[in-house]
Amino acid sequence: MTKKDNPLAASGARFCGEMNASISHEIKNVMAVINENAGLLEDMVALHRLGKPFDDARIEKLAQSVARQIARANDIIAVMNRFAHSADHEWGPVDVGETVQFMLDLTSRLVMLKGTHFDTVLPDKGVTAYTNRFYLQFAIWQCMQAAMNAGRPDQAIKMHVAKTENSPILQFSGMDTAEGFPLSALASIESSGVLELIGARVVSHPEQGAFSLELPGKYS
Amino acid sequence: MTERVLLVDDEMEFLEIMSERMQARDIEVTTSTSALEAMDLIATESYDAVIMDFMMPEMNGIEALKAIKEKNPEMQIILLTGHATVEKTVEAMKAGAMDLLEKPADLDALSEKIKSAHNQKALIVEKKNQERVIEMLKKFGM
Repeated sequence: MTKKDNPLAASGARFCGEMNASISHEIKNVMAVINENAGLLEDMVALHRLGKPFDDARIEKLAQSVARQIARANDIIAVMNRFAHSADHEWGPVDVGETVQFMLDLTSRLVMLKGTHFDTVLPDKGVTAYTNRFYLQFAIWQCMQAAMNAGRPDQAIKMHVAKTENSPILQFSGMDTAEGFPLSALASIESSGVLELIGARVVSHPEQGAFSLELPGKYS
Repeated sequence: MTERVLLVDDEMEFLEIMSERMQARDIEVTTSTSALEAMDLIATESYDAVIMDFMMPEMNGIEALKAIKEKNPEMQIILLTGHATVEKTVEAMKAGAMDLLEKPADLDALSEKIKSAHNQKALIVEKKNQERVIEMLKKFGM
């Protein structure tokens, strides 16, 4: 089987790799801070042996820093674990708003590195799509990437979870309306196969700097 | 003479603690949380070395390294990364980095590299002074 025969397999694997790589970088950053804390404690012990008294307040601050980083690592690992187990789920009802919020947590570092910011509008009541959780996450990430590439400087991209008469939708707006609008990126999402798999489609509104991801509202 | 270092990372806590440890080793440290701000600082201040995170928002370490080297070809830049792959190391060296180190970095090893950068800079300054003197002597027909 080649990449041409099954583009979804290749792009899906890349999605997994990209998320895991990002998580590993985040954890490395946490370890770097804890390592420096440990090193500073060693330095303080060395200075104490040369006669310098311990600074209680400083040691307390170091302990609090370590605790903060452990809590941060715990959060990162919880997100990683939830992502890993999202592949366990079969087709069924998936809360779209919750999935969007989860994707924002999972990709926060990648979004930050891009220098972008998403403003989300979530519905008061749950909006449910009948789809596959893992591949919905993948589709949302592809849409987020397309939107980030077309984002305007110093302007947040809006993600709005809503429901039309027929289906749940995720609207992206606040993008470049001219040449920067991601028509080719959206075409790539179509050709990746994930939309067909989950029964979704992307509808673009270039003149408004917006596009929507329309999801299946019932079993097909 | 004290070594002077510019430490660049978007992680504030990492910057604060590393800065404190370096200062305890008589290294003068300026910190910055962004590559863009770092470039402004380099334009006005003199440093022996820049120690910079590989991945940062707005401008990553490699992009910043190339931009800095264009205006300050002699600046010694050490990149810090979470995963030092062969590809990243080659990319960094080709762009002119002094070194690429994996986080968490050993501070003693880093301090040695900073000393080396300081000595390298001193040699370059000395060489430039000698060249200036030779030029002047040539001017006066000596």
